[in-house]
Amino acid sequence: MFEDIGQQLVNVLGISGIFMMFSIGMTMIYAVMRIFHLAHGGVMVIGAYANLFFFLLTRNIIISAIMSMLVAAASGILIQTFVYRPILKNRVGWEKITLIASIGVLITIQEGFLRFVGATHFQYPVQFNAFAIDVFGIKIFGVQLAAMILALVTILTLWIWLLKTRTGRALRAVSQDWELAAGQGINPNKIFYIAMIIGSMFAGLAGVLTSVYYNDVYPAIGSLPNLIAFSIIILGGVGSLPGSIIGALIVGAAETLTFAYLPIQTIPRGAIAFIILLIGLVIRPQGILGRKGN
Amino acid sequence: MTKPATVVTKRLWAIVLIVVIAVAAVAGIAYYMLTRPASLAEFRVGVIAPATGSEAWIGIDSWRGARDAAAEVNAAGGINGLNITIFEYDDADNPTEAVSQSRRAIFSDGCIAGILGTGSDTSLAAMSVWNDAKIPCVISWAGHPDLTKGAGWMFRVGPIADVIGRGLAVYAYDTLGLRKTGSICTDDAYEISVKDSFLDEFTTLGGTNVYDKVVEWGEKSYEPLLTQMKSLGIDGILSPCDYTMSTPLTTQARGLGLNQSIIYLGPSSGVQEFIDGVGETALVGPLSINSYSDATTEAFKAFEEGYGAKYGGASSLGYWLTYDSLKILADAMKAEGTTPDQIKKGLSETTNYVGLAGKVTSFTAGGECLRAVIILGIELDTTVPSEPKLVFYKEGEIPADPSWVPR
Repeated sequence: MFEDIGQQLVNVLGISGIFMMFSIGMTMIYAVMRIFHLAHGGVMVIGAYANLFFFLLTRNIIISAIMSMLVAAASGILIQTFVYRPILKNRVGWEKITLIASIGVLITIQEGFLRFVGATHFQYPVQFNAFAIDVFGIKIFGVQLAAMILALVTILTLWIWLLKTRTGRALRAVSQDWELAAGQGINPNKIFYIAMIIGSMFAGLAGVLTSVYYNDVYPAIGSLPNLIAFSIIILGGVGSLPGSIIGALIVGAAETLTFAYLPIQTIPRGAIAFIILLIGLVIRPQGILGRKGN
Repeated sequence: MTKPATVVTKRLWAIVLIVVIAVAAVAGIAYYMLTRPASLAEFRVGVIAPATGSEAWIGIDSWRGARDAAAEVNAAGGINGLNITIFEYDDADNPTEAVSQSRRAIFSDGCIAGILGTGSDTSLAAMSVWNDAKIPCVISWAGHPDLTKGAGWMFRVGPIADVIGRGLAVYAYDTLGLRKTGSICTDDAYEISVKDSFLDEFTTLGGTNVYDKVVEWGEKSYEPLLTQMKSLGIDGILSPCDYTMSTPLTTQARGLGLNQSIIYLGPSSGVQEFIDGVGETALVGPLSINSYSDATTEAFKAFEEGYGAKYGGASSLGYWLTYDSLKILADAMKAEGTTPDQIKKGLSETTNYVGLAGKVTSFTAGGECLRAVIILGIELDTTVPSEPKLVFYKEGEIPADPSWVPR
C-alpha cells in the first residue's frame, strides 16, 4: 500500500515537472508580452528534434540538451523578430492578431517537420528512459528524477534572477505595465526578447525531457503539452509564475490519480486537464493566484 | 400578348425530350461504368491509403506494395496481355476522405477493383461505397471484424482481429501458462477487437483478466496504470500494438519491476522499431508479439534486403499486405475474368496463396481469409560478440480455427 502511494506520488512529480517546465515558459511570455504564445508547442517540437540531432552527433545528452535549448532560444528570437514584433508595432488589435499568428506559427512548425522530416517517429539509440533507481521499493525513473530536479533548479534560478538582478526587475516591471516601464527608461523591446529567449529555452528543455522520457520524437510531440499548459496557466492564474507551478502540480496529480483510480474502463486523459480547469474556474474564476479582472 | 398554346406545348415536349435523353445518357454511362469489363487498354485498381498525416508511414508503404506487385504482374504478362494500372488515393487517415476517394476511384476513374490499404476506422467508413457499387474491394491490413459484414464485396487479406486475439489467448494460456492478466489498450477499433477476443478466449480457457483499461491513441505515460497492475499481482500484461505506445509501456513496466510476460495485441506496426526502442531492457521478462509475417524465414530476409536497397529502412505490414492484396486480386482476375462478378468469384475461390505475409489458406463465405497466427519472441543475438543485437525468433504458430471467424 505504502509502495503504491509512494509510486503514484513519484509519477505525479515526474509528469508535473515536465508540465511545469513547459507552462512556466509560456506563462513568462504571457506575463511580459501579454501574448498567448501557442507557438510554444512548436518550439518544444524544435527542441525535441534538435536534441535528437545533437545527441546523434555528439553522443552526449548534456551537450545535446544545452544545444537544443540554444536552438529553441534562436527559434524564439526568430518568432519575436518576424512575427510578434511587427504586429506589436501596430498598436490596434495586437492581442487577437498575435494569438492568431501564434497558432499559425505552431501549425507552420508542425507541418514543416511533417513535410520535410516526415511523420516517422524517431527514437534515441540509447534507452535513457529505462534507467530506474529503487528507493524502499519505489522505482524512480532517471528521467522522472531529472524532470523533478531540473524543474526545481531552473524555476528557483529564474525566481532568484527575477528578484535579484537588474534585468529581472526590469522584466517584472514590464510585466506590470510596459508603457510605464518604458517611461522609466526600460527598453520593453529588449525585455520582450529576453522573455522570449528564456521562455523558449524552457520549451526546448521540455521538448528534451518529453522526447527522452518516451523515447519518441515526432512532429506532434508539442500538441498535447500545449493544450495542458493552456489549462495550467488559466488554472494557476494567467501570468502568475507561482500559479503555473501550483497548476502544474494539480493537473499532474489529477491526471495521474484519475488515470490510475477512476473506476471506468475508458479514460479520456486528454480531457482531464480541461475538466480540472472548468472546476477551478467555477470555484475561482481568476485562477488560483490570479488577480481579479485578469 | 400571350404565346399560342401550340408553341408552349412544343417547347414543353422539347424540354421533356431533352430531360429524357439526358437521364438516359447518364444512366447509360453509369451502367457502363459499373458493369463494363474494364477498359480495353488497362485494368485500373484503386488503392486508398493514408499517404499524408500521422499514418503516412504505413500508407506510403501500402502504395509501394501495390505498385511493386502490379509491376511484377505486368512484367509477367499482365492479365490476358493487358497491364494493371494502380490509381493511388490519399485518405489522410480521415473516414470522410476515405469515402470520397472511394467514390472517385469507382465513379470518376472507373476502377474495376479496389484495395483499402488503410486503417479500420477509415475502411469501415469506405466499405459501403464499394458494397453499394458492387465493386470488389480487398482490405489489406485493417483488422476490424465488421469490415466484411456487408453485401459481400469486401475480402480481407490481412488477419482479422478476432483470430489474432484468440490465437494469442491460446498461446498465453497453453504455452506461457498465464492465468491472471491485466490489459491496457488504446481506443483504436482494431486494438479493442483484438483485446476483446483475447479476453473472451482466455476466460473461456480458464484464465482471468483483473485489469482492463482503454486509453487514448497516442498515450505514452503508463506508470499510473502499471503501478495499479503491479499491486494486483498479475502474471501477464496485454499491451497496445503500435510501437510508439508499446515501446514506452514496455520500458516503464520493466522499470517499475513488472518482469511478467508482455503480450502485444498484434503489432500493427514497427516490430523492428519496437526492438530498437526497448533495447535490452525488454529482455528482463518474456515478450510475445503477433507478427503479420514470418520475419524469421530466409525468403523474408532476402525480400527485406531488396526493400532496404530500393526504399531504405525496413518494410512494414502495410507493404506486405497490400502487395499480397494486389497479387491475390490479379490471380482472381486471371482465373475468372475482369468483370466485378468474375473478380468476386475469383477472390472467393482463392486457395493456398503464399505471399509476403504468410499463407492464405482460403476465404470464408463472408470474405475473411483463413491464416495462422504467427507469434514471435525477442532474444539477444551474440553472433558478433562485439555487436550484440536484439532479433526476433519464432515462438509459435497457432493454426487458424474457422470457428474464430465471426459470422
